[in-house]
Amino acid sequence: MTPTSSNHTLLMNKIISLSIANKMYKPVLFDNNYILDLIELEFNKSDGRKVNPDLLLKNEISNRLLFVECKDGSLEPDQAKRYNEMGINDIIVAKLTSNISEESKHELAYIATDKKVDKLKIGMDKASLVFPILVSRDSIIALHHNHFSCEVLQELFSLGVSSKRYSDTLYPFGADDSDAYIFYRLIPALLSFIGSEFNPNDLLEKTFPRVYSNIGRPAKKELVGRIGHILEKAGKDKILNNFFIAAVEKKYKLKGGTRRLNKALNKYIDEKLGAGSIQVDLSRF
Amino acid sequence: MSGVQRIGDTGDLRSYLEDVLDRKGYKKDEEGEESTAFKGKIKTYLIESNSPNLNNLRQDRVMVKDTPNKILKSFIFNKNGKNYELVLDISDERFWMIYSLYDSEKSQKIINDWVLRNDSKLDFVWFPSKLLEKYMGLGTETGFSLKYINKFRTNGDKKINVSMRFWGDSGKDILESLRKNTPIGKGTSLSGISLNYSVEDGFAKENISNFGRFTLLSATSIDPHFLLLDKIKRNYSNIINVIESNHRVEGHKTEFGMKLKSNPLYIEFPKEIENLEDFVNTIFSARLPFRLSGTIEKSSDDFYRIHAVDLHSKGLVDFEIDPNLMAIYLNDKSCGNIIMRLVTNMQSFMDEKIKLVSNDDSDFFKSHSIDE
Repeated sequence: MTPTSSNHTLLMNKIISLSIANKMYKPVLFDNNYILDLIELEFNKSDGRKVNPDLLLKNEISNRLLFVECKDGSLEPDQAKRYNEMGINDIIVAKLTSNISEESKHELAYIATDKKVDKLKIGMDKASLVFPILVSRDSIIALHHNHFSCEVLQELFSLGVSSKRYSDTLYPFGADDSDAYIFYRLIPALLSFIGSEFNPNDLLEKTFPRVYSNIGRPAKKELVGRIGHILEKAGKDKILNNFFIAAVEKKYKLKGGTRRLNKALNKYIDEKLGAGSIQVDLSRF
Repeated sequence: MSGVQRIGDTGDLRSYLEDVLDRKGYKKDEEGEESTAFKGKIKTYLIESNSPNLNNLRQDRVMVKDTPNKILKSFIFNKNGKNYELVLDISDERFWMIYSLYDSEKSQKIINDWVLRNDSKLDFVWFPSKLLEKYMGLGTETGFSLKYINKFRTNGDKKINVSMRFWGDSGKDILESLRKNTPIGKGTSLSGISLNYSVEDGFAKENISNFGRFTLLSATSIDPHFLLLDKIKRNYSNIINVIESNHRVEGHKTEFGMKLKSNPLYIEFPKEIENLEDFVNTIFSARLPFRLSGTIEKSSDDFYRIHAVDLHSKGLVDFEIDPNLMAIYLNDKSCGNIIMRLVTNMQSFMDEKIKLVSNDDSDFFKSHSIDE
């Protein structure tokens, strides 16, 4: 059974897939001129306080910005308060993106899975905030609470948009993904290193060069450390230990035919990392 | 390869091949005699290399010797205790040329053994049917070959295999009428073309296969062969450059976050694939000719995601596949030749009408002319 990503990674990929050109699925946000501009933002408002929404979509036709926070859990009141106090001048002064003026409009939406959305709604009401909340339920993303100021978004999400098909290429995994899922996504890189020596950071760089070159040193160190830990465990397991051979210059080396190793890696994930026991959360789809 | 020692001594490929032309009676055809036999003919293989380091080649049964000419290497391959010598031209770092005088079968075995190993970092250049058809236009049409095996059945398919060679002056017309025929139409993927390539003071009659083998059938001198090779190599190189510059997933850090660029290419199937699971398992089986392995994720009966490794370059490529369409996402450093390998072989094993398109629906090969 294929391991599944965290809900945060899933929601990120669903919104990204709706806001980039693609023939495989209908990217309704892109078709309505809301186009992915930045992911994993972090900037300071004029008062020096930090804001870090997950995504920024930009509509150059209607001169609007949409920030998206993928939040599969409770509202963080302090973070939400900072979002609420963010004005267009903060965005202009920070020079966050091009062609923004005082006439530009911006808003921020939260998105959660069906299972967690009510928790988010309760937190929002308690904080007396009115950010629109989207819910991902039964392959549809729909407006669950409050309203968009942009009429196009209000109409689209009131009806609900299909997110049955989405790509997981652009945002492969995040810190909250399981070991099983991270290891699963590393399989192609592991296969590519058969016969060559490698370190955990080589795997990360090979799998997601854009992420590798863009994340900060502490986050990279944490991720590399985690991959190292996963490999250590894998190398000692009886399903895989025959494939791990002594390396001289780097830490790891794999031997074996591509098909045999691929099969063994999947078996290990399924049997030892619990992929087979992960329950599919239907509200995700 | 008899006489290769002279190249080892002088590094003069042109004189050597001119000599071969004289000795083998190539130039008789100047008077109009037809020559269709491949035996003993000069064969040049265009090879795509992701391995700038020649030391990678000096292993097992392969020996590469320097010549006085830096760009020419004497390439010696040992098979069943016997040495076979070919000439390797590395003047273009990415697209190498190998010259062989052995017959087709022997040459092919040697080259296959060398190129198709998983750790070779080498691949053939692959000419999809539409591209080969364009190359027909570089000279007078003299023929074409078709080879088709129906490996993937689509809805309502009859099982057919096609193998055919046509020699004559109206190749394109014959091809057009075959394409209108049902059910042969889908099996009209070109496996090779023959053309008469003329230059100011001579000609070369060539057979070009869809995996980049150029067989010189007759010629007035070796120069038209070199010129045709160079023209097609430059065009192919341009196509690969366009794929790698415009169709890789890229990301770069800004002061405030990450910008991402994704512009996948798509293979459009002319008919729905009947058994998507079989199709996916065949393509990603780590076997020839596709050379792809990876993790296959069935999202639903009609939608698969595959995180794959290209066993030629060891580059990573993601795929999304439904019964009508295959989206291909090349990773930042992945080799664009995978696209050509996939399209060419899917046309040979599935349907000639398979198209490569971009997000704007434009036919990729239609928009890349050979005069670029």
